[in-house]
Amino acid sequence: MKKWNLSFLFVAALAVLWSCKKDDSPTSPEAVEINYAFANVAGASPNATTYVTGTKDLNFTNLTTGNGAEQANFASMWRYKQDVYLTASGAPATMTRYSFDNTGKPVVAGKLVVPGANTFSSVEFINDSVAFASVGGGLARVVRFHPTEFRITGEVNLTPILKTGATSTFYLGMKSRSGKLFMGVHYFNGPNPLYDSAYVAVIDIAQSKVDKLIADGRTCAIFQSGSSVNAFALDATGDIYILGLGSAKVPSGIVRIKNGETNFDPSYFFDLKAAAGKDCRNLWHFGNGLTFTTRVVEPSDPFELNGPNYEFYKIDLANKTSLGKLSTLPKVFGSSAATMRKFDDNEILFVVAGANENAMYSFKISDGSVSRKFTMAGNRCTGFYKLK
Amino acid sequence: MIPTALQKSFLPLLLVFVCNAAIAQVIVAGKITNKNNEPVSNASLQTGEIKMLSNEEGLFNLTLPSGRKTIYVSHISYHPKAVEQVLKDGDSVWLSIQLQSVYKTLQEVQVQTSGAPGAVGKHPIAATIIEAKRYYSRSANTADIINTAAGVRVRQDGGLGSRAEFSLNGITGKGIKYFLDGIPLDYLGAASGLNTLSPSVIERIEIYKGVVPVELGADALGGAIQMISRKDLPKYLDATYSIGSFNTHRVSLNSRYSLKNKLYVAGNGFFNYSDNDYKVDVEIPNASGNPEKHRVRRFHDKFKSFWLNAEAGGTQTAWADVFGVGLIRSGVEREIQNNIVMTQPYGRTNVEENTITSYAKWSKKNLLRHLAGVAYIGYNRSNRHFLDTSLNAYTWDGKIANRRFSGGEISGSRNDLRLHTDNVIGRLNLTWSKDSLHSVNANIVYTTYTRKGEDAVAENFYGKDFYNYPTQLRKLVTGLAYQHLFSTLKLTSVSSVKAFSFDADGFSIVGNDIKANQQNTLQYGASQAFKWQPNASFLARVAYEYATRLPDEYELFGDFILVRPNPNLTPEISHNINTGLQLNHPKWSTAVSGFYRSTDNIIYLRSSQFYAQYQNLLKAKITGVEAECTVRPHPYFILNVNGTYQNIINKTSLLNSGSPDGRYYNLRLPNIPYLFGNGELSFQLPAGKRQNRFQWWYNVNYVHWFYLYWSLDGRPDLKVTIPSQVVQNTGTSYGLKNGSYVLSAEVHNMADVKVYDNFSVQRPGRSFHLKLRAFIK
Repeated sequence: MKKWNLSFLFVAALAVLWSCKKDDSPTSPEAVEINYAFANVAGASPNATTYVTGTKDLNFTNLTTGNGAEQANFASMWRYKQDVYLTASGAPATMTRYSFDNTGKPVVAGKLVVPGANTFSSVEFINDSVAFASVGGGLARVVRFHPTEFRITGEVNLTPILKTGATSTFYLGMKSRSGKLFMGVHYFNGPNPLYDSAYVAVIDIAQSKVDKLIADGRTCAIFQSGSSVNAFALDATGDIYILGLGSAKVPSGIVRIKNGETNFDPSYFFDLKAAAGKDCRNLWHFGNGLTFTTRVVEPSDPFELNGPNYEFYKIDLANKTSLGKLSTLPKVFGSSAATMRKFDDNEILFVVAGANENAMYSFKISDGSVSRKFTMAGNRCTGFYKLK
Repeated sequence: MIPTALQKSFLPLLLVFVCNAAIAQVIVAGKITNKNNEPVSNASLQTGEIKMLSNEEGLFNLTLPSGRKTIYVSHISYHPKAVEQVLKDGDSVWLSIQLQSVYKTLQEVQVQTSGAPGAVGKHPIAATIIEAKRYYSRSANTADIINTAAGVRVRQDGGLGSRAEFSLNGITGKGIKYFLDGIPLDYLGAASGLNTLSPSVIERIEIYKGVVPVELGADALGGAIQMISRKDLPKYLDATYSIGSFNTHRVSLNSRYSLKNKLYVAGNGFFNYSDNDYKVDVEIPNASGNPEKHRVRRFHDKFKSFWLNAEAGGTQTAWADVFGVGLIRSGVEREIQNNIVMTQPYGRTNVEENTITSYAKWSKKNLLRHLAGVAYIGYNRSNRHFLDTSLNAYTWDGKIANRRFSGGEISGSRNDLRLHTDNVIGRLNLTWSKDSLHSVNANIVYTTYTRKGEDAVAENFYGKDFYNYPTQLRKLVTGLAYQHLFSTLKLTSVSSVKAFSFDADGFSIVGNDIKANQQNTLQYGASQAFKWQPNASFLARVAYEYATRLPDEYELFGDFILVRPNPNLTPEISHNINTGLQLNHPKWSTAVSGFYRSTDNIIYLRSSQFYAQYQNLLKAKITGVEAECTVRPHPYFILNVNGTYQNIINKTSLLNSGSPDGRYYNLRLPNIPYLFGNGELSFQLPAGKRQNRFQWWYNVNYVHWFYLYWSLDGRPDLKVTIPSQVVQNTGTSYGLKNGSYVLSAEVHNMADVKVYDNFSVQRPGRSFHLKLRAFIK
C-alpha cells in the first residue's frame, strides 16, 4: 500500500511538473531590417563613449542608445553598403566592422589593426575590393584594404611627402575621383603650422602611390576629418571643393580642384572669413546651390573647450558669398559633431548637438525651413548613414 | 581617600593574600595589557576546566592547584598567548601579561599627541588600524595590505610597482592624502608610494575615512592613510629576503641601536625588483591586419625601487624626549609596458626618479606645563627622468611592427624630460592637556614646492623648452582641535577647525608668448566628532567634516602644451559624515559603519578635439555601509570578514555634465566598484617550549562586477564591464626561537584567475613566493 502511495505521488508530481513546464518551443524574435545607422556619444563627464545604433526608418521622435553597441572609447563611424566601420581613438589604430543581424543587433564582423598608429584618421571606400585609410600618430602611410574580405592588402608610402621641419604630420580628409585619391595633409611645427598653406596629396589608386603634393597659400590647415566633420565636397560636375581652417596669417577658405585636374584651381578661392565674418570649418555640398558650413562664434575657443561654439551657415560656392545663418538654431559643436546628409530630394538632415539638445534637424529643400525631426539620447551624434 | 582605580588595582592582590591564608591552593592574579600598557578587558583566561574573563581594568585572579600550569589567554583583538608557570603550594603569583594586537583591529585610533612613548589617547575619529607586524613575514606590499580593509579599494595597473589608485568610502585619487609619521608622502620622494613602500619599515597603518584629525595637516577631501614607522625596541636587527615568481626579489633591513637610552642610531631600507613578466591574453595583428588572440609574457615592465634611511639622535634629554637627524636616499626605475587600457604595448619608454631627503625631528612631552610639542623640518630634491624617444611601434610579442617618422610611444612630441623638484616642509604640533578631560591640539604644516626641468627633445618639437620655466607652489595648512571628555556621560567630543591656503607661481602659453600666472586661494574646513563608550563592550561614534582639497599645480597650470591652464579652478569640497557602532566580546567583535559624502567641484580633465583643461565638473552624493566581523572560534583560529557597499550617485548640474539632458542625474557613477569584501582565516599555533611558531592563512578578495560606462546606455549584452573578481591567496610560515627566524611560503591568486582592477588591464596570475626573515633583538 505504501509503495502504491509513493508511486501515485511520483506520478502526480510529474504531472504537475509537466503542466508547469515552460513552453520552450523556439520563438525567433521578429526580424528587423536596419536601414539607418547612428553613432552617438553618450554619457556625463567624465564617463562618455560612442554607441552604434541601427533603425529601420526615421519615423520616431527619440532615438535611444538602448539597442546600441557600446564602444570602449570614442569612435568615428564610416559606411560601405550595409555595414558600418568604427574607427576608435587610441592606439593601436583599430577599425571594427559592424553588421546588423536580423534582430537589429550590431554584430562585430571583423577588425583591422595597425600597431603604433593612434587611430584611422580618414577612410575612403572605392569599390568592393579597394578602400584606403590614413592613420594618425606618426606612421607615414595610407593603408589599402579589401572592404569585403576586410584585410589589409597594401599601403601607400607617404615618405615622399614628408617635410623637413615638420614635427608632426596629419592626414585628414579624403575624396576619390577618376582613379585618384585626394588626401588632406597638414604639417605642424610644434603647435603651429609649419607653413601657412593648404596641402593635398594626390595618390594614384591603381598603383597605390603618391603622384604629388599640391599646395595653396591662400588658406591653410586641411585639418579635420571623421564621420562628424567634413572638409571635402564633390559637386555634380566632378569638381572637388576643399575647406581650409586658416591660421593666424591666412583666412579659412575653400579651394578647388577642377574635374580632370590634379592641381588647385588658381582662379577659384572662396574667402570664408571675409564672407561670413569669422573663420569657418566644415563643408557640405548637395548640388543645386545647397552648400553649408559652420562659423565660429567665439574665435578664442575654436576647439570648444568651453562648450558648443559654432553656427550653421548657408553659403554660395559659385558666388563665394554667405547666405546667412541657418534659422535660429543654437550653437553646435562644430569641431566635433556637425554632420549633414541628404537621403532624398525633399530634405537635408543635419545634427544639432548643442548645450541643451542632441537632435536631428531637417532642412526643407523646397522652402528652406528648418525643423527638429527627432531627438537623440546622448551628447552628440557623430555619424549617421543610410545603409544601402 | 584611596582613588577608586587604585582600590581596584589592589583588590586582586588583597585577594591573593586573603585566599592564600585561607586555603592551600595557589592564587594567580595579574593584569592583561596591550603594548601601550592599556588594560585589556574581557580577555579569556583558561587552564584546564578553569576559565575566567579579565575585568574592565584588565585584572584577573585564578585559584589553581599547584604544579606546572599553562594559562591560555585569548581575546578577539589580540594574538593568543600561552603563559607557563610552575605553581607551588602556598605561593601567590602576580602575572603581567601583554598581548599583541592582531593585524587589523577594531580598536580606536591611537593618536600621537606628542610623539613620546605613552603619550597616546583615545580618539573619537574612527579609523581602521592595520598592524604591519603581521606582514613582516609575508610577501605583500603596503598597497596589498591596505586593500584588505573595509571601505577601501586599491586599483592597480599591473604587478609590483604599478600605478595604484586608492579609494576610501567612494572618494578616489587626489582626494586621499598619505603620510608617514605625520609627514605627507609627497615630501619623502621616490619609492615612498604605497605601491612600493615596504611594510617592513612600518609599525602600523591608520586609515581615516572621510574625517581626518588635525594632526595630519593636509587638504584631504575623503580621508587619509598614515603609516607609523617602526620604533619597536631599543636594539634590534630585522632582515628579510623574498623571492617570487616573475623574477621578483625583495630585501629589507631594519635596525636600531640605543646607547644607554640616551643616544640612538637607526637605519632602515628596502630594495624591490621584478621583471613583472607575467602572462597576459592579448591580440596581435596578422599579416592582413586582423587581430589574433595570443598568450604572451609582458616584455617591458621591469621595476626597481630602493629606500635607505639613516637616523641618529638622542632621547630623554633636558630639552627633548626625542631628537634626531636623518637622511633618506630613495629611487625608482620603471619600464612602461602599455597604454592605459593595455591595447598598445611599449618597448622603450621608461621613467626613473631619485630623491635625497634630509630632515630633523624633535619632540618634548613637557615642553611647558601641560604642553607637549612635536616638530619636523625637512628638505628634499627629486630628479625625475622620463624617456620616450623611440620611433619603434611594438606588438605584444615584443617585435617591432612599425617605425614612426615622428612621435614617441606615448607623447606626440617625444620626451627626454628631466624634472628637478625641491621640496621644503615644516611641521609643528602642540598639545595642551590640563587633565584627562580637556586637551587642545594645534597643528601647522608649511610646504614649498619648486619644479624646473629641461627637455631638449620636446624643445625641438615645440620650439621652446616649456619645462625650463619654474613652477612654485606654497601651501599652508593649519588646524586647531579641542577634545573634551564628559566623564559622567562617557562621551568624548572633538571639535576642530582647519584653514588651507596656497599661492602658486607658474606660467601659461598664449600664442607664442609665455606669461606669468599667479594664483592663490584660502579655504576653511571644520569637523566635529563624538564618541560614546558606556562600557568596554560597546562603542558608538558619529563625526562630520567639511573637507576640502586644493587644486594642484598641474591642474592649475596644465602641461603648458595640450592641457591648458585654468585660473578659475576652485577647491574641491565635501561634506563627510561617518557613523559607527562597535561591539566587542572575548570571542568575537563586530563593527558597522555608515558613511555619507556630498562632494562638489570635483576636478576632472575635460578634453576637446585638440586641447584639454582641468575644470570643476563633478558633483556626487555617496552613501554606503561597511561591516566587519572578527571571530575567534578557537584560540588558534581567527576569522575576519568585511564587506562594503557604496552608492555613488551623480549630482552634477546639467551645465557641467557635458550632457544636454538630465538623464544621468541621480544615476550611479560608472567605472567605480560598489560592492566588495575581504575575508581571511588564519591559524596560529601558540609558541611551545622551544618558542617555535607555525602559522597558516588564507584570504579571499571579492569585487562585484561593474560597468565601465553609464548603466542606461547600450544593449545589456553589448555593454563593457569590469567582471567580478575572486582572488584567493594562501601562505604558511614557520618561525624559530620566538619569531627570530621565519620561513614563509605563499601562493597569490591561487586559482590563476584573470584579475582586472581596471578595464582591460590584466594583473598577474598565480605566483609563488618564499620569504626568509631574521629578527635579532
